[in-house]
Amino acid sequence: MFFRFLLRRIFYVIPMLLITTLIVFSLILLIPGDPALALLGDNATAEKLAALRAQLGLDQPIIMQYWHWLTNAIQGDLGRSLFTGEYVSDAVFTRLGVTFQVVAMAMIFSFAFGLLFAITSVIKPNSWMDYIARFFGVLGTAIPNFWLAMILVVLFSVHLGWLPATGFTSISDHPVDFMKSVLLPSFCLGSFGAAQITRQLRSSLIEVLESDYIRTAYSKGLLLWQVIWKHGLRNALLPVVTTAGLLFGNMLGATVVIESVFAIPGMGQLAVHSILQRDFPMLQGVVLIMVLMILIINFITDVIYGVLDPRIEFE
Amino acid sequence: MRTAKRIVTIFLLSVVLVISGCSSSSSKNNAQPSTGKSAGAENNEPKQGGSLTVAYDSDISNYDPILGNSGNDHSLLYPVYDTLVGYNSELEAVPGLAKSWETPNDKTLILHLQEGVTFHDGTVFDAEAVKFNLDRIRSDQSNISDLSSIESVEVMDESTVQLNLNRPDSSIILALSDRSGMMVSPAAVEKFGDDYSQNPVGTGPFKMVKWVRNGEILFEANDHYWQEGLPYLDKLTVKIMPDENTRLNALKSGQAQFYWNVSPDNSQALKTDQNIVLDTKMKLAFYNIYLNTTMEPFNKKEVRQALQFAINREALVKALTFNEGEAAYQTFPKEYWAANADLTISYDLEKAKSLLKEAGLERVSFEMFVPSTPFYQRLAEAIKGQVKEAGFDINIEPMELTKGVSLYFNEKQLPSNLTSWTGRPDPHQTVQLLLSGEGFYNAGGETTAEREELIAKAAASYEAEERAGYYEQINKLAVHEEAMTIPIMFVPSTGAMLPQVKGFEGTLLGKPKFSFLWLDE
Repeated sequence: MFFRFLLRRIFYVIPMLLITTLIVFSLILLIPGDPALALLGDNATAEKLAALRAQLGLDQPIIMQYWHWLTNAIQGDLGRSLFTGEYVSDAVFTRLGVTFQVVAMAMIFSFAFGLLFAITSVIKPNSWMDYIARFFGVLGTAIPNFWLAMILVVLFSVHLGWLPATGFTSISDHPVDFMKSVLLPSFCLGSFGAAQITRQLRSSLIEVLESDYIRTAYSKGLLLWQVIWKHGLRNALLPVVTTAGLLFGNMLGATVVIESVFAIPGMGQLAVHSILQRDFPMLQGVVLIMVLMILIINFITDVIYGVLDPRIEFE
Repeated sequence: MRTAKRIVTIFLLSVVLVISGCSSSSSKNNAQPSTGKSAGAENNEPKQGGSLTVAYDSDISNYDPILGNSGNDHSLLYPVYDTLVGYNSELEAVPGLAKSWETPNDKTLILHLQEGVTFHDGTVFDAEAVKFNLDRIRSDQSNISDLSSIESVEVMDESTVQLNLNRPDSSIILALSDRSGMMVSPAAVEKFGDDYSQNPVGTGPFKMVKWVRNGEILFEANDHYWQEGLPYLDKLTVKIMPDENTRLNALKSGQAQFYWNVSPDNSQALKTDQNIVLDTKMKLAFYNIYLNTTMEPFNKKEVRQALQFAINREALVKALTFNEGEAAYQTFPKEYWAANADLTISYDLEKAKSLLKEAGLERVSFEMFVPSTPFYQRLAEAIKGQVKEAGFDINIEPMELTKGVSLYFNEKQLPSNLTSWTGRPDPHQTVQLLLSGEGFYNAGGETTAEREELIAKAAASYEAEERAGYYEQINKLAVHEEAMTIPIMFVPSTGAMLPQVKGFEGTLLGKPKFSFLWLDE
């Protein structure tokens, strides 16, 4: 049953990828700005431009260019950057590792704070703990993450000197430096997520804790934490899992800003750079991988549903 | 509820404290003049060793000098590649890989090369290597057009090369201090082919050992560098940080010891910081309104002239650069050898109005592309306000750079654009590109026989003073009389560094050289 579900999901992914990449491809070709001109600069004579366009295949109709890209991509060749000449696949995968580490840490932050705040707030609704949790729930949603990032950098890096202001160290190179370099960016990236999870989980926990089986659990003599952990949380987590799946996509998008504030060489920076330069092959590569990641996360979300709630079947 | 309010109050207070803490830190130190050359370089003996980290604003567009397309690349190319000709802070040619040169006639240039120089991969640098490079730069695969006056390159002996020109061209010497003079290893080009740009090999003081795109570039000292005792540093790291606040934070938190491209706002604040040394130097680049003289309304000379007189450049310099900048009345800043410091364009609203009347117009409105960055937006708004009185209504079209440049220069859909001229090592390159009929930046392509003759004459002269005379005439004719383009202002380039960083010297070109810095610690 699960295997068939898996197969069908993979089957869905294919048209999804085709459509998104085609849309992105046409969009970037529709906006004015010619990579050939960007490459040639003030040496651009009409003949040179025409020659370079022909060489890059930019003189062909969009659909032909897309077909060309697609057939190569299927064979694993995403092409080379129009500007630096590096292989798109190499560039994208090195950056994917960076962004993935930052986003993963941000997800951990979101969940840790989200769970903490939500649970403390439902233990005693309308208590001061509840107010703090709700306050941070609003704050995390309202504060723009780039602003938060700048404030935190000024405080923790420039004034206190505890954490690096910029840069990134991979976890495989140096775990301690990794934590230092990733703490601020992932906190900023995760603050919105933490707030969302707090709000979502709080309201669904409150609903669940009012249901009959919770009363039954209490009457069996279970302790508060046992009730919340075993009976409450597990039933309340389903909507949170949905939120988390969406958050992941959100965070991938937000890396565009956060990575530039912290000068982290990740996917977000690469995307921005490629758009500004009209580096089509590179941008296609970035979009392809981002879409793939989001589809994979959606898939994982669906699987987690099943684990959390055995009533859900994989059809 | 009351507790919640208290929490909010405490939080807000702490935010205020944090913010006020940031702003007071820069004002608590007393003023200390820190412009000019970085102090101490002449008193102290340079010290060997150490590693320096620089925060730089953009990554290199390509590590092959013939393929790159950005003016910001040079600072990242210099450590790896030596140029045939060098330049000093005032942009005069000095020996480089060519220890001397001569021009027996105005169509011949003979270069005498340094001996005993090798590329990082051990290949010998000799006349053959120079020929290989100059031919490569002039080939179809190259993006460089500065050497179009070279007819042929002849190897005279192992260390002498003769360039035969198809027309007199004095700009060729300083062009060889640019990308065109950067020598790559012929063996490496052969070996790596299409992957050469990932594996650059030059004769420079540093080897590029690691390049994380948009992240950082690591350089290691070249132990066999041909100049005795250089470089001082063992390691040089350039971190790419497009956002200026990020660069500033990196410097203040000690992650970098040098940050390039300080905006006038920040340089005002940093001047009072005793822990930071600033180096400010006027540069050739200037803000400019490019006009397409074949499009309405700028196909009328009177309209262009009116715009030229309607701008109060001094006021713009004061308001936008805290007087650090310089009003542009010609295509070069005053302190440059090719400029005449006495040229001015008067700010004269009456004259502007009467010129418009002469053209039969009361009010003129036009579209102007402006890059969508804060400084450009402020500049554009200020200009718009000034020229309104003379009868101009500017419709500002904010766009991202690639798009705007494409619309203006390629598709010719806009009559004007406010961007900057980035400057070139030789004045001929500037004049040729901006004002000649074939110049890329002269979007309308209009010219006059008189102007072309002057440009050709200037190119045929190898005497600096004589050339400067021609450039004055060209500016009087093309900028003042014909108002082909509207120069606005020059803004200096500024680098900020920690006090232990020594040996930095800004140049008129505004492209910092990091290779020979040293650390006093």
